[in-house]
Amino acid sequence: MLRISLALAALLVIAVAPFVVTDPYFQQVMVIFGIYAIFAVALDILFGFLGVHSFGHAAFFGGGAYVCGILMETYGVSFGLALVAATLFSAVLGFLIAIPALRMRGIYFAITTLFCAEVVRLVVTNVPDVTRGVMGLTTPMPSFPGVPYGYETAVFYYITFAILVLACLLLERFRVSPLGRSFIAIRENEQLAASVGVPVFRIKFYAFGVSGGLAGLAGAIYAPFIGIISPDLLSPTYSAMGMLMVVVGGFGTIYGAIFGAFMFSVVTEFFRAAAELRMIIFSGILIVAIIFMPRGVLTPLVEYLRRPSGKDKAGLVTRDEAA
Amino acid sequence: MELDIFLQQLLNGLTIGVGYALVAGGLAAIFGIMRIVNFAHGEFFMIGGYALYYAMAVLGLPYFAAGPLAVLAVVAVGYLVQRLTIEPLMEADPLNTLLVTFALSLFIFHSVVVVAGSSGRNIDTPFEDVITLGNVILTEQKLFVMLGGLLILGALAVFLAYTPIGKQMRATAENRYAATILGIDVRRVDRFTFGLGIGLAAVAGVLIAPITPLVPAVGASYTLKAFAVIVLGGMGSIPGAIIAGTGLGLVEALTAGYLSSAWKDGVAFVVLITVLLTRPTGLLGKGGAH
Repeated sequence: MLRISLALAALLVIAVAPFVVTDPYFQQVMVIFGIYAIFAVALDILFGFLGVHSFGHAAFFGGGAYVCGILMETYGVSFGLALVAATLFSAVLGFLIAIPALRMRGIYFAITTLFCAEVVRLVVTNVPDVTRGVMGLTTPMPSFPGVPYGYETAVFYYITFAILVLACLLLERFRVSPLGRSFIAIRENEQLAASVGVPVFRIKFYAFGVSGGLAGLAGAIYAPFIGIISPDLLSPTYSAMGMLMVVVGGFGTIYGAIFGAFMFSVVTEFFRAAAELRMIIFSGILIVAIIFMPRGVLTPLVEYLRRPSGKDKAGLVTRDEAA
Repeated sequence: MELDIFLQQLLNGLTIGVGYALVAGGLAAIFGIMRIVNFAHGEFFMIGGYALYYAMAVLGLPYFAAGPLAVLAVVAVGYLVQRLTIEPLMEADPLNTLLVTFALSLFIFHSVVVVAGSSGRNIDTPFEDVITLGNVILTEQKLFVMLGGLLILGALAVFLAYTPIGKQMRATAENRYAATILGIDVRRVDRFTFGLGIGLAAVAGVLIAPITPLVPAVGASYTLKAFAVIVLGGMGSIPGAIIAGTGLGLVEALTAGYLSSAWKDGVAFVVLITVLLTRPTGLLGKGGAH
């Protein structure tokens, strides 16, 4: 009951927020929050569910942003189609990076993903004919039929949060599905999972594609919303940003990632007077969080809400129940 | 004429390569002994350069006084960082140290951007003259980088081979647990190792900063290069890092000279990924890397 009422309350808050917060600047902050939240949730699929620590997710976020930007600006493709294309592109990029990266373990995996993202950044920087290089690519504001001038932010808001809510619903179902359980099994003990027949490589491979695609979708919304993108979007800073949100909020909880994105985009707005200090403050918070709360700020709460209750057999069966 | 261009690129590559060797040698020492991956390593190179700049521009010190002072200041910062953020995590999941050093790199980078701005700095050293050998041009600073770098790398080799703390470091790298049993204070070794590794990066910063545009972003670039180098040289192998570092500098300079300078940064990445896929223990590695 508590869970359902919390979910309904959250949906209600999301639905009415643009009517309550009418200040255009804060509406923009909310959209950015939603985009970062999608990015963080995408990363959490790998980090939290699978225990695969990608250090190069900026490649997918930035890659999606560039594909969307180039299609809309240079080829005049519609926003909707560009979103789909960017998502597919990032998913394919995910598969491509997964092929070398998944053969590595631990730090080698981290370094490989980091370097793959650097290769993508180098390519984007060095083909100015297509991407405008370091000058940055301007992206047009999409036209939404039937939407009066000045309400584009609200449309972006609802698109972003619809995707976020959908992703949360799917992942919440996925988490307790047999396939979701095998994700957790791989995270907890890869050898053991393989020994009981979980196709470890294949699952990781597909998860990389899904996570990359979702991150690319976040980037694809980001590009026309911000209006200008530069190769900085592919730099390790953005990969780190995603990780910071997931780690501060809590691995594998979905909501932890969203909370991390909230911290990053909305809470740090209070330091707006010192915009340059934002990354310093946030990386400082991250350092402290890793040392003192390595499981994330929100993890205890999410675990409390997800505890298996008598009525709900969807939760993990405890040893006592099984006996 | 062709030969002159080749020699010129070779000298340029050797200069940068010595810088890579110093930075990567420190990174290899930290990884080999402490088993942690220091994603903030290049940032210490970068703050070494900035410390030098401020010591000269603000305190008005000459290069030879400002250089050692900058290295000491960076080592002091590194020591604090190690005690406050890395030591508490030595027993935890290795992922935590990975993340903490990643966060540290951002922290240092953005702090420098706020303090110094993101525009470049120029540092004037006493070695401004140019030596010409036929058609090959060599600035005195580049010569100083090569000689100074080689001297320090030589000193490092002697230090690791003959001093008690050097022997303790090698023992810890060989087997941390056995080293503890033999009465080696591995925590002390860790602190020393981190300081030494950071010190090597700072020395490289002090040497290289005058011949390169000093911007905050140079730190991240050196971190990535140093990673490519230590993977190439076999993770944790200091001699491997030195050879591979010099080699990377040469290959980059030749790529810039004969192919395209825009793509020279890609050399490190392509080499790294290829080596990881085909010979994951590195060119000089012993095995067991995965």
